Amino acid sequence: MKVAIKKNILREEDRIGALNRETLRAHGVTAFNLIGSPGSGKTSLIEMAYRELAGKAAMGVIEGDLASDKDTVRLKSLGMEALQINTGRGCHLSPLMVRDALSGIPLDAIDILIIENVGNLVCPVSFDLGEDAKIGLVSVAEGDDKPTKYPLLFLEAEVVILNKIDLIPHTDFNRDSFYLGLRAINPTIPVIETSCRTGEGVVKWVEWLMKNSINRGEF
Amino acid sequence: MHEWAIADNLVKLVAAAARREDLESVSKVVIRVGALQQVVPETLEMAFRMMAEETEIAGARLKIEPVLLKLRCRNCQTITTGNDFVFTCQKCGGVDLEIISGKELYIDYMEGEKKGT
Repeated sequence: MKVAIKKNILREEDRIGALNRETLRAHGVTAFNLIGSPGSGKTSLIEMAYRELAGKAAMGVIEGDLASDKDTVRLKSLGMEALQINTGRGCHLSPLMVRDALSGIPLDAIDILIIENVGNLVCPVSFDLGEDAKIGLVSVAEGDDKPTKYPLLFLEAEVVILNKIDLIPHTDFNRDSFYLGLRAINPTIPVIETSCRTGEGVVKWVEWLMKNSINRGEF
Repeated sequence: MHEWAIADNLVKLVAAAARREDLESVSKVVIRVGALQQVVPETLEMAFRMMAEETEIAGARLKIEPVLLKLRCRNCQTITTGNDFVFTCQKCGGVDLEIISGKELYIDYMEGEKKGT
C-alpha cells in the first residue's frame, strides 16, 4: 500500500533552529552564521570584529570544527566568550549542536553571537541554526568562481565578505569575473572586501554587523 | 557529506510514519530533492540504506526524484528551467528572478505492507 507522508525532511532540524532563534531573541542576542571554506579567514575575521567592537558591543562565538579547540583557545586568549563544538565526522553544525552550546554561553552578557560553521560551502547552508543572517565568506586564494559553483550559499546569505584582497596582485583572481558570477546569482547582495592582514574593510564589516543587529547598532 | 544528516532525518521520519500506519515492512520511499541542495544521489542512497538497517524500515529502497531549478523572471514573467545553475532569464536576460523550485528536500510517500496482511 502507498502511504503519503508529504513532509520536509529537515522539519525536526528546522524546529530546533526556530527554538534557538526564540532563545536568542529572548536574550536580545543577534546571531550570524558565518559560512566559508577552510582557510578562508573565518576566525581572523572574528578576531578583527571583536577588537573593533570593543566598547561598542559584546561579542560571543560558537566555533564549529571537526576536531581540536585551536580556534577557541585563540579567541579566548583575547577575552572573548567562545565555545567549541567538535562535530567529529560531521561536515556542518546542526541546530541541536548549537542548542546545546547556547546553554554554555552567558547570553545576557553578549549582544552579538557569531556561529563559525565548519569550513564548507555546501552542507552548512541547508541547516537553519536559528541565526538572524547567514554570512558567506570567500577568499581571493580560493579563486573567483566560488559563487558559480556553490550557488545556494550566495542565494541565502545576506552579505558576502571577499577576504584576503591584499593577495589579488599576486594571483590570477579576476575581480570582474567574481562580481559577474555573484551578480548572476544574487544581483543585490552587498559585498564587503576585507584583508585581515592589512585591516582593510574591517570597519565596514563591523558596521554591517552592527547595522544588521536586532537593535540596529544601539547597544 | 550533508547526505548523512539528511538520511538520518529521513529514516527517523519514515520509521515514525511506518509505526503510525502499523506497517510490517516498507519497500520503497520516494523523496524529491532540489538541484540547489547539491545532494549526491549515490551517497544519499548509501547513507539511507545503512541508517535504515537497524530500524523497522530496513530493506526499503530510496527513490530520489530530482527537481530542476526553475526561476520566474520578475520582469517578463518567463519561466527558465535548467540543469545548470543559470540565474538569468532565457528570454529577456533579466537577473531579478524568483526561485519556484530547486530547494526541495521533501518526502513524498512510502510503500509498504500492513501487519497481518
